[in-house]
Amino acid sequence: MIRFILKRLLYMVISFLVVSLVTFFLMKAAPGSFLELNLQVGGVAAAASSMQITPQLMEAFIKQYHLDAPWYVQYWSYVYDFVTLHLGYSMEYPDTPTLQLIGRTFPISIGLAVVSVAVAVFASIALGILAARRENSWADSSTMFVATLGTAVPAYVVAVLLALVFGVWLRVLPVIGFQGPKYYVLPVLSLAIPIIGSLSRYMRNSLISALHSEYVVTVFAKGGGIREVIRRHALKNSLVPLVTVVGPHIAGLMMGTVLIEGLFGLPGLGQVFAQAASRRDYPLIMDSTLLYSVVIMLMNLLVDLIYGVLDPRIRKTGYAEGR
Amino acid sequence: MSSPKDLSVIASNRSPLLRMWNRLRGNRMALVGGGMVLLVVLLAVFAGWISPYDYQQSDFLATYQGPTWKHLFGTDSLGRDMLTRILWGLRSACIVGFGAEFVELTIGVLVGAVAGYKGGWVDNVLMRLVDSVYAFPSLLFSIVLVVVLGHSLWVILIAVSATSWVGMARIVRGQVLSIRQSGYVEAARSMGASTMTIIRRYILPNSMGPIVVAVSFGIPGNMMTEAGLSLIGLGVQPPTPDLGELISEGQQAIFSYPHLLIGPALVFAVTLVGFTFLGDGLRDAFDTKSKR
Repeated sequence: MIRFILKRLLYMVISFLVVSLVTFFLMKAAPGSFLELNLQVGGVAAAASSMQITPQLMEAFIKQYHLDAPWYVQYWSYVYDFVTLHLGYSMEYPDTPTLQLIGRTFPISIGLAVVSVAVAVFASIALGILAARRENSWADSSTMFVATLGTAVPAYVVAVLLALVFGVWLRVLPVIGFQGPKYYVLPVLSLAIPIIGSLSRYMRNSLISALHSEYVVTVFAKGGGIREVIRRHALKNSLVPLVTVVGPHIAGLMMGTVLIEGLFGLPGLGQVFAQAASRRDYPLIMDSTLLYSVVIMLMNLLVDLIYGVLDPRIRKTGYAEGR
Repeated sequence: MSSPKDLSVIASNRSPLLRMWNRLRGNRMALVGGGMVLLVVLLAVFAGWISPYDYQQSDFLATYQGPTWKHLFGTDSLGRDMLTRILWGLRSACIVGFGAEFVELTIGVLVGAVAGYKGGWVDNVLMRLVDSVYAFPSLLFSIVLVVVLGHSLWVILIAVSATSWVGMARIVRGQVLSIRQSGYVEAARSMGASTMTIIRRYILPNSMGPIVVAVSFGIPGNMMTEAGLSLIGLGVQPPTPDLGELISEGQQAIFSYPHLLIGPALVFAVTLVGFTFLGDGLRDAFDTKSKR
């Protein structure tokens, strides 16, 4: 197990280096990139005015990113500053340190993602049981039909349709802003519904195959009812593979928040990133890209570790199936 | 529905594609999905002929009109016909959806086949690369690419396919690994067939099933990424209509003119549902293990 964790951590470091290198060189290749500024002609003031920022901020950037040094020094300082959490400032928010900005906005995004996953998992288990108990019945096929619709449509289309129905026509839920738990309902639902679609289908199929297995027949033969079979035997065996199916959704979910927060006006990191991208705030883009990839890698690692604990077979190959 | 067991007995000595078609024919949902996909593709290809107006033509006397017989989906803030814009938006979605899938297929099959067939350190290096790309925050990476390289159609094709080819590479590698050990590949190798010939003639045709299924799910996935990009203003350059941009415009007018949102959102949703039905059907048709 320890070897498995060490191996995965090593892969994570490699992935981190690749992600940071690619991000760094893309930023350097961007037209008018701040990493390629000519500081000789006109000095700091000219560089600052070409970036449309104050000379003080420009000075801070030069120190932060070593703009007067060769690329490997720049790259190293980028990675080192990220790892040691010296993120400096960004162009759009010159008065707020980036670390503070992330500290303020990231919990909102992460909270949104975690609540959505939790809602999705519980709803999927419930729907899966509902459908699997009456295999091929009307309840089963209609639940699964709705689930298929859910898998097909991305979160942002669900979001606008929910906003239209519950916010505009029924006027029961707020569609924009962030002033309380009520404002979380529609974003969470729109992120959760596509995941519920695919997870509940998975749950149904694995429960049905468990219900057809011989150990379940044995339980029935010994006088157990359907409730006991599902609760004490079949459900446990179906939940283990569900962990791996949740894994890839978490990465997608983190990306989903980038679009959903903008639609609902939630002040999370996703919205900050989307704005930074459309306004070409390169320092902020660089840091948040790394942050997101680290979070996604950690979550994938966590999922694989949980699965490794639950299912010893996976420790040999190092990867969970279904990824 | 006729019993699928009989069908497979009749078809078992025909080509895999024919066998697949026979199974697909019995799946009503897949046929509906296939019909929807075909309709969308036709609408996209012939958008220029079908659409009643020019997508740039504005009419300031007819702004924000609700649906009428003249404008079935109403008109937008500049009096442009929404039906026309939606049709052209479908065209953008299809170009990026199919185009990016072609890129993914090319890279993914190449990397996956070489990694799976060569094995050893080649496999190790390629799979580490695939894992690294897998760790990329996909949408963020697409956003960064568009920010850096600009909004042209080619950049968007690259941005959409930049991270999604790894899924294809993994599928192909898994297929190749299992087929490589089969008797007929060994026979071909013993008769002196080259690596490329074995991959092209024997391995790829036999791993067709999962690849076709992955393609049918990949195309709507690309459409979602592309529309997502243009939702935050990083899509195909205006005035070329785009479904994501239309949805974003409609969302801003959600309280005052909901018809601007309903049209594009529903058309996009129906398109994606069609692809999903078809993909589900294909998966069932290719899955020889679970005969329902």
